Amino acid sequence: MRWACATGGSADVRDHRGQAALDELLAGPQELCGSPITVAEYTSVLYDHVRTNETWGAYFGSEDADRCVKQFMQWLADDTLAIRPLGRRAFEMGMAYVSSVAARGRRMRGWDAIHLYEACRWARETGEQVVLATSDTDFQKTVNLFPEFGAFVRVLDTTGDDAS
Amino acid sequence: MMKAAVTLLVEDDADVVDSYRRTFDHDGLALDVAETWGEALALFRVVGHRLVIADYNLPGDEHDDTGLRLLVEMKLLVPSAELVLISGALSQPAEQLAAQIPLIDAFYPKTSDLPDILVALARAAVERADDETDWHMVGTKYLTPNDVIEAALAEIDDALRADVAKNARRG
Repeated sequence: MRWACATGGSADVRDHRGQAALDELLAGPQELCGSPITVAEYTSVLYDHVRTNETWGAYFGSEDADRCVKQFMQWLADDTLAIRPLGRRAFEMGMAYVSSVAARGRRMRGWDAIHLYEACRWARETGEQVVLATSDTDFQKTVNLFPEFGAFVRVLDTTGDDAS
Repeated sequence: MMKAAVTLLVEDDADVVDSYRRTFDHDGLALDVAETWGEALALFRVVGHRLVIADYNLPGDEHDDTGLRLLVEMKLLVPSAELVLISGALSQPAEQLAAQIPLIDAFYPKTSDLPDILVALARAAVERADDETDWHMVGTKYLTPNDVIEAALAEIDDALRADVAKNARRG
């Protein structure tokens, strides 16, 4: 979403750092995958920006959203980005992640939990650590809380903010 | 490439681990191994294995150190996991008690045919690895601990502990 905001005219420096990080990933040799949640949340947040009159999204119009959706579809079409289907137990494990975090007095959103589980599942399948690129600091907070996730996932903060 | 393991063995005896690992390898089954309570729970929290096989007598960290209590924790975290307790140091009455614990799916003494039994369980776990979550089962299993009087569980645990201590004294 940082990429979309930056290309839509945002003045927020974190959006531009996020854009640069994503552009670098897209141009790189790594295999890039998203979960279906990425698609749903990207679309949802795009249109939140279209609808809002608040300063955080006032510059962003429906033409920007259409352009960003089209670009996203282009990445899918030319296999720059692949979407991995959710595992059959994604929701059950999402519930378990949320419960674990809650037991330590912290909050984890359900979709984030499922997204993290999917990253770990991918890491288990490939036998390699997966880089989870995000501007959401909650992921790093969860890894800090449960270091065992770090064996499977490294969180790349695309905005350069420090969550720890 | 071998598929990611859906079975977790919690066992601190290196000889036993080697033996089970050889049996699993021979059958082409992947196996995750944890030696301690904390290590097992950490890995299980991330992966949510379909099948967990835990030795009753585990080296503790800061936690209660029985495999039984570990499985109770796991049941609450991922209710659909199949949980199996094993032990090589229990008397007949304690074995019977353990076999009746509704929190776990099975209890097996460490007899010579145990590796084959566990491989059969692991094979079944692999077969259902891609099954959808059975939410009815999740609900039912999650509620199971609430149906058990904690005092009864403690009694069973005490009996098992006594056996372990008795066997340890015998050396």
